[in-house]
This record gives sequence, structure tokens and C-alpha cells, in this order.
Amino acid sequence: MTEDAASHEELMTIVANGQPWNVPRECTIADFLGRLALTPGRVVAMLDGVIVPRERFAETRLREGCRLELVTMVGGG
Amino acid sequence: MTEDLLTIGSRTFRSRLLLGTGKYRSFEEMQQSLEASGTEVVTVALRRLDLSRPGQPTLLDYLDTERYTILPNTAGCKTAEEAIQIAHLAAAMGLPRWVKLEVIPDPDYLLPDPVATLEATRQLVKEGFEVLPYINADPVLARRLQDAGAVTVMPLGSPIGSGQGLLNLPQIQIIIEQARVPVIVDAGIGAPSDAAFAMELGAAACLINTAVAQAGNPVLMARAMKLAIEAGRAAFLAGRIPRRPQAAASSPLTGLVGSPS
Repeated sequence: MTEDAASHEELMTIVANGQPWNVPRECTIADFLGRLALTPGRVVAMLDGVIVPRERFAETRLREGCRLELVTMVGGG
Repeated sequence: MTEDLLTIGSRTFRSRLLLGTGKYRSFEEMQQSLEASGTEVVTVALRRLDLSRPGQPTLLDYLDTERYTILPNTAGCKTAEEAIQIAHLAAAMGLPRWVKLEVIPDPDYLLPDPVATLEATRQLVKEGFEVLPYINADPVLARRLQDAGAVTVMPLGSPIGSGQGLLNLPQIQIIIEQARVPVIVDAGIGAPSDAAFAMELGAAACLINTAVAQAGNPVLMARAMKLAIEAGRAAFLAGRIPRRPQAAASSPLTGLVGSPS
């Protein structure tokens, strides 16, 4: 997340997939994915260890210091 | 003759080849290999989305989920708890509520943890999952898993990706003999002859990944595996001749030209 994209907004830091990200305070999971220009097919999220299904991405707000895991399918045996 | 179908839990398939989607040199090659194999079930792993490279092609861009039934695995999980969490994530992702259960603490030989696998199976069955546990070829464990409600057992022929074939043959034979659920030989198959042999012995199906994905020509190997599994299955149904210590002539022993009588 670049700072200029949200320079007028109040930021907070979250940890997404193990890396720190600065995001606006009111950011939802859907907003976060949108800002990354991710148009994920089947993605599921885990917020502080609790699974959030995709249909709840738009209503689920991130919090300062929260740990977000975004998980998808990859090749495997 | 009625159609010979494979039933795993609540699902029924015509193909007895389950194919992995890992380790192909390209998604295109994977796609063509799936096609050539005739498979109906493909395994996938769950991993973090790569946030640093948004927009890159992903497995899903190349996987026709209408055509193939996705079987999520729990590869990478070292404990029962981790595996259960991956099963939950897969279900939340909208995947079918079934799981190839792998609990593997050992990084060198990738041998599964039997105790944790049984624990995770019990829990996931309780939660309504159809569980397909990946196990070492231990007949007693296979029975315990069946009793716990596993819909199949998947003994390894030899370590994952090793291509060593069916090193655990006598144990796999006992599992097949005693099983009330389909037995799927998973891991270690290196060549079509391994797959055919497993099927001749009465395995219900084979799950193959590396032997196809890393073959010189994966698409051709996928077709070879399909044919081997069909041949092995037909041979099992046909019933092979018993082994004999001595020869038994195929041509008549009477009426030999020039014989005295």
C-alpha cells in the first residue's frame, strides 16, 4: 500500500500474509484486496485466526495490528 | 456389463486416476496433462496469496472447476490442528467438503504422522467432512481410520515424489484384503507399470503427481498412466492366473508329429 494513495487518510498498520502494510483506518478486507488490484477467484481470509468467508469480506473491518491471512489454491499433490 | 464406477464417500467417478496439480513446468502443460489423463479428481494445496505479485496467472485460471472435482490437500501441515484448519479454510473457500488429509512432520521422507492423522480424521468426520487420509502402508492404522469414518485410505507406495514404486507391496496387499473402503495408492508411483500393478492387486485408484508432472513429456505420460490404470483395473476384474512353480505348456502335449503312438 503506497502512502500517497492514502495520504489524506488516517493510517494503521496491519500484518497481511506475514508482511506489514499501512492501510486506512476504516479499511475492510474487500478494500484491502481492491487496493492491491487483486481480483481473486477463490480466496479465503483468516483474521486473527478466525476464518472469514468471501461473502463477508466487504463488511469485515481490519484493526490496528491485526493479522490477516489471505489464502488461495495452488498446485499440489 | 454394468459400468465399473469408483465411489469415494458420496461421490462417484468413472476415472480411477486422481491427479495432482503440482510441479508442472507450466500451467498449460498441467492443463493438457489433466485432459490427457482422463482424470475427474484433481488435488490442490492451500497457500498464502502472493500479495507482491497481484495479477499474475494462478492455478484457477487454468483449472476448469466445472469439469474436475477439486480435492484440497493439507500438505505442509505438521500437526492435526494445522490440518483441521486447512480443511476449514478449504470449505470456507467453497470447495467440496472433503479433504486429502496429510499430517507430515518429517521433512526428509515426508512420512505421515499416524497418530495425528487418526486424531484429525476423527475430528473432521465429526464435522461432516469426507476424509481421505494419506498414510504409511500400515494395515492396522488403515482399519482404525476406516472405523473412524474415513471414506478411503491412501497408503503410500514409497515416499512422495521418490518414484520408487510400490516398496510397501505386502502391506498394501493386506490393506486391500481387509478394506471396506476403496484403497487409493498415493505417492511413490514412478511409472505406468507401478500404477498398473497397484490396480491389478485390487487398488481402487491411484493418486499420481510427480511421475506425470516431471516426466519428459507430461502429457504423454498422463495418457500412459490412464492406460495403465485402465489395464490394471481390467486385469483385476478379469482375474489373473495363479503363479505356478513349474511350466505348463500352452500347446497340446498329444498328437506330436513323428511320435510313436
